[in-house]
Amino acid sequence: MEEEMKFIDYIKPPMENGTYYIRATQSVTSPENCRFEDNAQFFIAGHAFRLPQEGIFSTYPADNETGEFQNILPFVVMENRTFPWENSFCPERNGVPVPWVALLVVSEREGAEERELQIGELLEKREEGIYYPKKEKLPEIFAEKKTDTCHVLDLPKELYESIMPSLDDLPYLCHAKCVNLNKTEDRVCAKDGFFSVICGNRFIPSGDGESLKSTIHLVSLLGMEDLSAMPDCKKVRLVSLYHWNVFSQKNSGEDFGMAIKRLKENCSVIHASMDTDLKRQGCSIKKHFTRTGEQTYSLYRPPLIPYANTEEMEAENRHTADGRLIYDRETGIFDVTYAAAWQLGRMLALNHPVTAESILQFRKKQKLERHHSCLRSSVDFRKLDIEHLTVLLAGTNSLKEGGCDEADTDDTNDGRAVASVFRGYR
Amino acid sequence: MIQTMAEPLRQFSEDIVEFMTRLRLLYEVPFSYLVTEEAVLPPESIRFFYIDGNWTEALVQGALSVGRVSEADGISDWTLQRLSMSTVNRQLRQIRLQLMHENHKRGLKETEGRAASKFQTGFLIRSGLVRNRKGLEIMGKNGDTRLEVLRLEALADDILIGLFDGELTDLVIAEPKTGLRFGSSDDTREIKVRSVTDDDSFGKYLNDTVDLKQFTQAGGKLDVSRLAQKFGSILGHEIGAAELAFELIAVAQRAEFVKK
Repeated sequence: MEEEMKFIDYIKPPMENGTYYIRATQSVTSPENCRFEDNAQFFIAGHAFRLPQEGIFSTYPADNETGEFQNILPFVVMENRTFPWENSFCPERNGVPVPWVALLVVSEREGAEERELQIGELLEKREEGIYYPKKEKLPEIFAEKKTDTCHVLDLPKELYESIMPSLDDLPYLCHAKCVNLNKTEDRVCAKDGFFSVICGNRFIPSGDGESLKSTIHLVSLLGMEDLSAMPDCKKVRLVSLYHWNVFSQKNSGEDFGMAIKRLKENCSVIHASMDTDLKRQGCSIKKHFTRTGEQTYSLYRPPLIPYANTEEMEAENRHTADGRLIYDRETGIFDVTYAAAWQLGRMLALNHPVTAESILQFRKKQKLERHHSCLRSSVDFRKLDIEHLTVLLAGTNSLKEGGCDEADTDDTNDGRAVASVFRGYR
Repeated sequence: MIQTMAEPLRQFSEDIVEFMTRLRLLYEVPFSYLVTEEAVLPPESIRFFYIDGNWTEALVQGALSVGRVSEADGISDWTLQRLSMSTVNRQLRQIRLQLMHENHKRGLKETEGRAASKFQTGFLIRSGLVRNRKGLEIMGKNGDTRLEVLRLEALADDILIGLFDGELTDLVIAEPKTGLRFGSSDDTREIKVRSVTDDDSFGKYLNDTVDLKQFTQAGGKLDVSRLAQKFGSILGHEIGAAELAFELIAVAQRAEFVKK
């Protein structure tokens, strides 16, 4: 994509969640006119009561984050680009589909209650004074089992009416995004860059002088029709697909800028702020149990160093770990840095049986190739053919039937060929 | 019966070269080998480093030592490793490029096949930012030249390691594009309206502002549909969810760390 970031009003899935029928018909004309028909039913079941954590890419503010959030609207970014439009709980408005989810912010002082309920209980049991859509209005097929639990949010009717977005609001609160991820970490840049975003409609309640805890709920609106609660209910029950807590304090100043400021205050080249000279070079002292049973202390330096290492290290015996030990005669201490690195490499390779096998096979093949190339250069044949050779050694002239090169079958060459065979065999 | 003779192999096979490249980028090296104690990387800190080429060479040599029987094996391995080094150098960027989705490779294709620089450098960050801002954006420069990212990985909840090809003098950290705030930046709750017309003025501020307080009810609820109508009347046409999001979104903040 050319742009860095693209906003999209909505991305509808090719098929919404629900039950579908396929009818197949085939007409044949020979031996006689006939029609064959068959019907099949299939359904697309989405999550209707509980979202797995993997579906969520990120939230703002993050889970349990503390900061200054009184002027922002929270939002959740979903990995699935069609998520908010996968179900319809009411018809389109102005030609735009209405999302079936909303993001509600509830602070801890507002009298909302939360609990875990089994999905089966939620659908069957009716509690006095609490409004929840009838089973018939809800999808028949969904990804969860009736014995799974879901999180429900019970809001007092006044709170519900004061924070719930209207049907006109809902389409504006969800949109899709396409983002260029080439500057992000490896795991993130492997994604395709399409996300859907569900935005809250309420500024996060914040405390004056202290943090106020709020919980943000991604609620399902399935079965809610026109979003108005029954008049004789005191509470409205909503299924919370996903929820997280935030702590907001007015004017605390805590945001991206503050976090960076903290980094700037503690920013240096690696090991530069350590307390001893030795540590500043990157060395650390580690216990060393030698093969002979003695215990000593040795120096180890990690591969992350504060300077550019331009010298190539000459190992006494570069094929073993011991060959890379550095001994300081003055202090009597070993430097095990490169020996440890060598040994770690060996262990990592052994940890990958496929690669270790590959290295072994490669080495074997190398030896074989080298052996053959040695033979070839000493015997002076373009092809090494054991049968061919034995025939020559036997002195017969049945080369023509053997199927070999023109040059080898030349009579005048025979003598030379035999002679060079003997030259190669001492 | 051996009919034809292939040339003796000049380099390790592809899968072994890939393994060697991953080791050069310190993949799978346990964290305690990289950071020996907590004081090296305390909470809320950033550290810059060079990678010790001798250390990674020892690591690769150790890995290739499996199954070695005699010193002759060691000598031939040494030769092979030297010959394979140029391939490994060219492959250094490929590890991340292979992970990256096609959609994001704009402009990066022309660097394929280029050999690595003499040094690899990098940084370690330990901060709540890594946990809270998924999709944090990192860019490294040497003076004015942009450096290739070889590896950018969260080793733990709050620790991020980044390796660059070349000497790092400038590091830029930016808020994730997926995590830009919706709302206003201060208590006045005033939003400057941005142009959404499809021309050069796209994204630039117009002279109008919208006061979000007029659309906020008691309790903090925002009357979103009326707000959308207001933006629509300023911009001259009805707007949808995408344009409303574009108007409400905050500019991404960036921080730059420059080597003294």
